[in-house]
Amino acid sequence: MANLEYLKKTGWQKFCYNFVNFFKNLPHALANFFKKIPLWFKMLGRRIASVFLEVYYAAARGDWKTRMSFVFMGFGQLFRGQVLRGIMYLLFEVVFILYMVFFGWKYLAQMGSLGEKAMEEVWNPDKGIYEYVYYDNSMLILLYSVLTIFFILAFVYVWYQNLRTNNILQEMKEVGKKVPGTKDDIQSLANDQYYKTLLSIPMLGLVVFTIIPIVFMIFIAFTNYDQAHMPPSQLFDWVGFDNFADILGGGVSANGARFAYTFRAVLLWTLIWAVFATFTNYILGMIVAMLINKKGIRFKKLWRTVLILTVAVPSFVSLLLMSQMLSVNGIINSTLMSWGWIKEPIPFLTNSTVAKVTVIVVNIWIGIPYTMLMITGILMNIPSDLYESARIDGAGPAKMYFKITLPYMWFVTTPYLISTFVGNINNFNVIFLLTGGAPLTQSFEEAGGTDLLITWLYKLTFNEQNYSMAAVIGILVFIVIAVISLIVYNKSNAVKNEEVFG
Amino acid sequence: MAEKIKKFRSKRKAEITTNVIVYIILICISVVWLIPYLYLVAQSFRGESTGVVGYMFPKEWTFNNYIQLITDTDTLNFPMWYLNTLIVSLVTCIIQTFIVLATSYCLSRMRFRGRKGLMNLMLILGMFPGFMTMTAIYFILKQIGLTGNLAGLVLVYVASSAMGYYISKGFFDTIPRSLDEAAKIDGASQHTIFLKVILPLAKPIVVYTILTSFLAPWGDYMFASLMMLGETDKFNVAVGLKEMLTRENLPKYFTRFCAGAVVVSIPIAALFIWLQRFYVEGVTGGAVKG
Amino acid sequence: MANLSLRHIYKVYPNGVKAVNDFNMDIEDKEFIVFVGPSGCGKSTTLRMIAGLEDISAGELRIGDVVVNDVEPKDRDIAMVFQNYALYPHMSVYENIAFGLRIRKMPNEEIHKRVTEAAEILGITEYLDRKPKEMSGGQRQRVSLGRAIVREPKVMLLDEPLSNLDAKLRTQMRAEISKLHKKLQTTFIYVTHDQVEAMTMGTRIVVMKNGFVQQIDTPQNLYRYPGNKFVAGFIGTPQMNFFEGTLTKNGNKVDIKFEYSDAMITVPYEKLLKARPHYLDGNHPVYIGLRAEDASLDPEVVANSKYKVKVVISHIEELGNESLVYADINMHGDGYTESSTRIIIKSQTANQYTPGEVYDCALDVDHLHLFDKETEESIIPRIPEVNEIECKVKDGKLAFLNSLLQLPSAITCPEGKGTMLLPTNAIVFGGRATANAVECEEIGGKYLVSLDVAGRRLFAVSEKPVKLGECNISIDMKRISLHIEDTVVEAMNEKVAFNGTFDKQKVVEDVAIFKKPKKDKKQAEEVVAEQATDEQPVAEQVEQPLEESEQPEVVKYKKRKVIHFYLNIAGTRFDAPDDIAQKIFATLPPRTVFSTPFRYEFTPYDFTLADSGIPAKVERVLDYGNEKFAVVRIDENTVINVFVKDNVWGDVYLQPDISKVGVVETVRDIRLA
Repeated sequence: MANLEYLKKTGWQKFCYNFVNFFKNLPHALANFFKKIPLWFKMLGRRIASVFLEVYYAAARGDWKTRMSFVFMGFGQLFRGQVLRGIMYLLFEVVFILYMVFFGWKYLAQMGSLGEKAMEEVWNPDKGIYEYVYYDNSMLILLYSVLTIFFILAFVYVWYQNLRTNNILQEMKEVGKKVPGTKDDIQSLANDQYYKTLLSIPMLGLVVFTIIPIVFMIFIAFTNYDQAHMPPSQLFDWVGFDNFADILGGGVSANGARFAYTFRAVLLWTLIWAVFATFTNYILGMIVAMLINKKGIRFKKLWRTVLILTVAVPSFVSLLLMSQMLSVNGIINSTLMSWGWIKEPIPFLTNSTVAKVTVIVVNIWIGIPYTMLMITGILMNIPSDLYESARIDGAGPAKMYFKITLPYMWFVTTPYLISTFVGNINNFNVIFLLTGGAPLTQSFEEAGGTDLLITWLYKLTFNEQNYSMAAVIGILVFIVIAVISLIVYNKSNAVKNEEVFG
Repeated sequence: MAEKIKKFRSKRKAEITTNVIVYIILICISVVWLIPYLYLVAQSFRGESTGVVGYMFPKEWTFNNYIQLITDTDTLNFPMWYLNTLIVSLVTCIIQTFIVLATSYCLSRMRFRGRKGLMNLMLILGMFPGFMTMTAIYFILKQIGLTGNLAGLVLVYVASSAMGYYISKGFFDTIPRSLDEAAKIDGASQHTIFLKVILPLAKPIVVYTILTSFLAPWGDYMFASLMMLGETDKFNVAVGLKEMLTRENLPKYFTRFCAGAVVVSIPIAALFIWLQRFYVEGVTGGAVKG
Repeated sequence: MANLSLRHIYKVYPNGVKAVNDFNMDIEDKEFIVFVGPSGCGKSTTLRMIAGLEDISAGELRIGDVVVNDVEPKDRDIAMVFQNYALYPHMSVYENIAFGLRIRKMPNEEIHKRVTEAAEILGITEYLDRKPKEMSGGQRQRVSLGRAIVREPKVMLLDEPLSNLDAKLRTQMRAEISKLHKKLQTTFIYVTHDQVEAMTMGTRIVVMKNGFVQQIDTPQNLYRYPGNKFVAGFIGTPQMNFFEGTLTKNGNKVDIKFEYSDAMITVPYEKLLKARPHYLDGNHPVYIGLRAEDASLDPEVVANSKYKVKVVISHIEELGNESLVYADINMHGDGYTESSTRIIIKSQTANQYTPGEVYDCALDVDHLHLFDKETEESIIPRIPEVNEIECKVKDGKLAFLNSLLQLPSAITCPEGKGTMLLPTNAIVFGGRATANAVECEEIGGKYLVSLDVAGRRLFAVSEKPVKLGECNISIDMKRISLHIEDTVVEAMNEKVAFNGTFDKQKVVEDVAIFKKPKKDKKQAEEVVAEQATDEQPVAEQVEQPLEESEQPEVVKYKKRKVIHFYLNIAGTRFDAPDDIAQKIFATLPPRTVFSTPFRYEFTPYDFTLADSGIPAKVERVLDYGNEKFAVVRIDENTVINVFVKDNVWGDVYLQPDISKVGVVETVRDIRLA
């Protein structure tokens, strides 16, 4: 049944209703979300159970070939016709064992302590000087431990796959099905298993250069790796959640309070910046696109090309240029002063508040052409009969914009907006190249008035080598982005449901 | 009848007035947009001094800045930087295009266990700030000895490029499946389908991927600065040009900076404008719903 | 050029949804088969299974006598035309057509010859260098056809190829495809949702609904003899009129009363002779179907007709040469919306009818269709199931028509008057009674014989044609059922079904090890290579070289552990035949196959009594005179009838003929054999 009560309300009433409803439904939505968690666990549990089931099958129902594969990976495959796979499994096992014995074990054992002694001054009788001899390097210990952990996880997974495949092969042989031999396997790599061919290199890159570094950095967040604890001359240790406590206001260490204060301020500015940067570009870009697209405006290509110039020129050039033009003795100040509009140079980049505004404005300059380009493409795709029927209904240009253009645009570009918003949270270039994150403030810990979380991260790493804090901030940025993404995705579903059921 | 003509006339007048206003706005916008570049180009020809000045047009016009840019390579070696960036972006472009296209084709066309999980994983990994991995990669590369080395930089750019599959995958998704099926019945393997059927149809997205992966290294400051810590010879143009603007270097190198910026911008702008059609198609096709 | 055979084809999705249910069909070479039905009925899925684009969940697909369930599409020697043409946009028409040939590494000369020939046939030679987007829909469709025929496939598959074309083009292309079929003399399988296309193009049509086959028949037969209400309503424009009603037999007349109205007509019983008797008792609601052209408002026809109803005119649709008159048999009816009382009547435009007026409408009762209201099956099948005859039982003898038969001891029946239901397959030719065969009609491979017995028309079914005139018949007593006074004696239950499972066991047995003949190895390889092109599964390839070359020497016997498979029928194990085992493994994953319940089906004739087998206890023996059946009890729920030669008592062991078993997987209800 259509909700006639809701339909009767005017626009403003509807808005109030939706607004109130959103908050009324919030606990409900949250409850739903949390209800999903046990389901998720149930699925996870089922997956884990199936893993154990496979192992059980291999042990209980496996024939001697399968059982041998518990110890010698690939054994079953070798004897059942999949020679290549069998060899690969076996090779992997050998490599793994060698790696663990000669390399991995050492480091893994030290993971808990992160090293006993870093270095020592030793008297070298031959040369007659004191020399440094290096023993344990905490960073390397952690790094290689992470590597080893991954290797172990990979090994467990491969071992499990080995058993599972053996089970399947055994069953196939029993029922008389043909087992794909090595030649078939290789042929199918170009066909059914093509995804393995295509994805092998990208996935390797992904694991080694993205997943392992991220895990490594997550671990670092729980240590005290900074300037005072710099391998190879010093060790660093586990500090648990201390860093997080510091930055979130626990105030454990001396610098803790400052970090927390800085963090709050920087986080706030990052969010404000992201909102302004995204939406000013979006709305203004749309307006410019519509102006250019308007009927009766000629030289459309000319206007577009002019604006595209800002896209075509590398943004870092534009930004560095702007940083000079807006400097205290830059051309803009000089010109304004020579015109008599101002008496003193405006501290575009040096005053905290003004700098914030400057940054947003410059970003508009750089960003509008991007949005304009994209929106122009979409504008041309709006079915014109929407406008025609609105005109017949008597709508003026403003009404058409708000009731047709804007909603359509909004619907179509929502993913783009989300990704731009997230991208702006991490927009290093604009802030750093323009202001350098300045002005530095005493009250901030190595951060400036226009610093985003990401530039602060950079500074902590680059200037202060405070890797642990940098890692903590990285994790917090991730959490912020994850939370925002979750809210947006859920809201876009929730809103749809809301409007249906009132 | 006269009424109608009057109404028509006033409507026309209103229309013309709006158009004039719009033209004025557009002209203002264009001027504002273009002035900084005008300034840049003008300053690059300035002969009277090399620092920042308060006026736009030079009193002395000269090519000196450009010449010095190329010849004076003692401290700030611009040609070297240019070459570095060119090499890095070419190599990155080739490798990254392959990786992105392979990944997005797989995820779009083939169904296999763990496909959804893989996409979710990459989504989550993408939420970590890219710079966070930088430190770890730096350490890893240091162990291998690839820091301060162009190869290392290429590795950094290329390594996580699989995560940029989203737009390309969206594009591949729009190619109808029946094409795959017809080819399958004709006897083609997945490999043949990818190379001979799908890829030729994906020209816009291939060009888009090549373009974006070529242009990216030119504008990267974050990673390049960290990788090439202290080795000015190995800088890329972004880091190098910023170096010219430090407090010590600024008075001497400002005009040269402008010259360098112009030298960098012109080819890239030309390339972009030449291929802009593909860029727009890629962004509207893959990034936008519908 | 090939024939196809689909046996028990199912498509079951992981979530349990059955897209195609028990599809059985044999397609001859050069036929033009059309799968037709509403959206989602499974026709495209079946076509795609034939093509190899979808996996076959259960059943066997043969192309030219070769089982191709697991064969890749490209090796099945088929070609497909898609609904949206699926042309490669970046290639020219020539390249599009040549694509498949190039992949098969055909020599260039050959490719050129074939492509130009195909283009010639389809009239697209001048477009060979164009790209698809420069061509119209019809031209693209022709290119798509060209791509298919250039491969000279065994079977041509077409998936709604004309749906994207406008009406005029569609009619044109329809004719062209038919022409193509005649020219190529290849088997065509065509999928469409448009019944007009199906009727005009097909040699045989398969009507499907919700994954089930409704009817497979020629267009004329589908039109004249639809098997159920769905087929009747689906085929033919305008749609058949359906009314609800009841039938009541009064002596030798039957009253057909139309529900929701006052209309009623009375027809002689002879016209409904083939109807199942219990529908004529007035208590079984039916659907009455009548096509628009079988009703008439023409005053001349009405005057000469004995079967009329009154209708009130609602509105008229003019078609030019004729018009469709919408009317209602209910005087207060609407006539616009489809209902149980609306009637559409074809009329010549010359006659004018005034909306709102009441007219007489003549109904052609020879073309009346009747369907059961619940099952929607036709109650007057072409081959009727039973004859209903009045009879009398006295002194152990059954008297009916001109015969007096001794009731066998198996049938115990009180004395009295009643009716006998004599199934048409219970009349056997050859015997002592005489009858006059007046008509023999071939219907779907069987022969319907109309017999005149003492003035009464009886129907019988025969596998072979029967010469008209005097013939001998006898009655299979086990199949008749009697309703005497208040007692009902049913026919003997001929269904035998057991529950069981599928087992395996490791058995140690002697396996012969053959010495590999060395010099014959090359020959064996060649033989294998030859057979590879025939696409036989590898298992068979391995066996045959051994059979064809000389019997190799047996070196020794080794004790090996071998796994045997058994059908566990009602607790007793029987060796599973290879083909049944393979079918079971093809459908079920190895892990669950041994715990899945099955139902094994036989006929009473498939058993012998032996020393081993299924233990059973004989309860009694039914003696039908010429045949004896033992009623045996297997367990507390299962009692079956088994054919025996002599009387038996006590405990017996039943040895079934495994080659005749029917296997049904009961969980998903899939018939495997």
